Amino acid sequence: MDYSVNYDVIWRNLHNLFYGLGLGLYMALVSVALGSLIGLVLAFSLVSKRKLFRVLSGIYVAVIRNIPLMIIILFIYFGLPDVGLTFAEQPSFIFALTIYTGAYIAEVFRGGLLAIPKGVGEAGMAVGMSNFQINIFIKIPILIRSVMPALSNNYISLFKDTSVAAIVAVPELTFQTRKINTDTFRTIEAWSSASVLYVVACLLIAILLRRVERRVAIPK
Amino acid sequence: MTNRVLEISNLHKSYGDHEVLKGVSTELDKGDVVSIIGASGSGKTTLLRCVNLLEDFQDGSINIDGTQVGYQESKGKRVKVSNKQVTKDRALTGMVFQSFNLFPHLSATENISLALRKVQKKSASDAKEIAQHWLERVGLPDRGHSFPGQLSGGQQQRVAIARAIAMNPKIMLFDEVTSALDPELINEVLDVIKSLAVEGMTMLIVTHEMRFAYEVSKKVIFMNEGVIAAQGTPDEIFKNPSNERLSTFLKNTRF
Repeated sequence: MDYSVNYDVIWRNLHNLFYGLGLGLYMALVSVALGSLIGLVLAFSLVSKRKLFRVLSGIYVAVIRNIPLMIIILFIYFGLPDVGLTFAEQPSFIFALTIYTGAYIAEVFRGGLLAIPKGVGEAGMAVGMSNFQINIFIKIPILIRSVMPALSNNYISLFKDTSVAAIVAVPELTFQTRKINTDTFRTIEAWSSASVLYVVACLLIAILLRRVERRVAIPK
Repeated sequence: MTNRVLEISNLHKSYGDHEVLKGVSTELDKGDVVSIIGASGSGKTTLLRCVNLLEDFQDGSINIDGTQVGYQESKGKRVKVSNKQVTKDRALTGMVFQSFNLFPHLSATENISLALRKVQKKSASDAKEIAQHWLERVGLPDRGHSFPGQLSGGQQQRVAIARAIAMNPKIMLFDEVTSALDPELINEVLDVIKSLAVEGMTMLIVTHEMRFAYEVSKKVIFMNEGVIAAQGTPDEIFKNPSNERLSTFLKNTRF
């Protein structure tokens, strides 16, 4: 038990850790943005009058939500090249994360859509708006505002999920940390530093998103 | 005949096996104010929603300003018109709902101007001007920036009236518009409707406010179990009810 803690190696590699952190935040952001589009389409399908839409979107959500993220990532990175679809590490990971989070966001949006009173849509119909216009100008704006808190949680948890990207050699924070660990054997220093960075980043995102939520909330 | 704004003939409407409207016919000329009274479940609201095409109906026809709405004859068959046409037909009427149904994410002004811009393709500034005009008209000149959640029920309902009438409909439909309001807020809404009546707006009003129906209407319709059980002038309906059902109904309601 004569391990003496020494964070010098962390300070020297801090730029790599921050780069990894930034990359994780970026990949989570892109995935949430694209996943929201998928989620929106799926949510409208899930509550559609047409059975075919409901069934297809239901299958997507049920399948994707019940496959571990790691499997989706490995499948896309190692599996798809066998059928001629090869992506670099980073796009491949973002693709996997987007598909994955789209299924969760779909459920969030579906709940939000069901929470919009029926009368609000009818009021849109009564003033002569088409279904498309009602969706674009009434339902989706209400939806986005009401699901912001849930989307924020989603973003934070997705950001933490980016640590899985290390498995396909995307140089994000976990990957960088592991590299420091294996290069220097400063195991405790490396992983404790990564933990601190994850915690601080998540707390800052939470505070930031809370402010955004308040900004876009429907005035009461 | 040129004055006829609304003509409902032999309207039948069922939900599955349950027939809600069993052959309703009535008509309104320009400037007519007609109130529909009756117990819950008598079909009043359903009738109004059919006129606005928020409900399908199985038989009969509705003509608004000379146009048959919702359905048309094709090779001797009755077929529903396209969704696009339904949207167009619907614009002939203005509807005010019991639960206001304002768009919660938009200010009072935007609630009124949204459809002016998107449906009638008016410019933002024109739409805003029209919205402000109607806000003033319903007694809310300085609440344009307020959101529905910041307005009282009575104020919300007045914005809803402004939103509907700003679209310049041929006829206004009011569906129990004071039923969700606190008692002290009812009159401000009824006063707005009365003033529209004075100005000659054609209106079909479903209401539980008997005194209001008595004062504002040219004709009162009493609905019972899906049919018009009695109709006549307010005096005929309220002072000399000829129909036994109507007498019982009036005895049990507050005038």
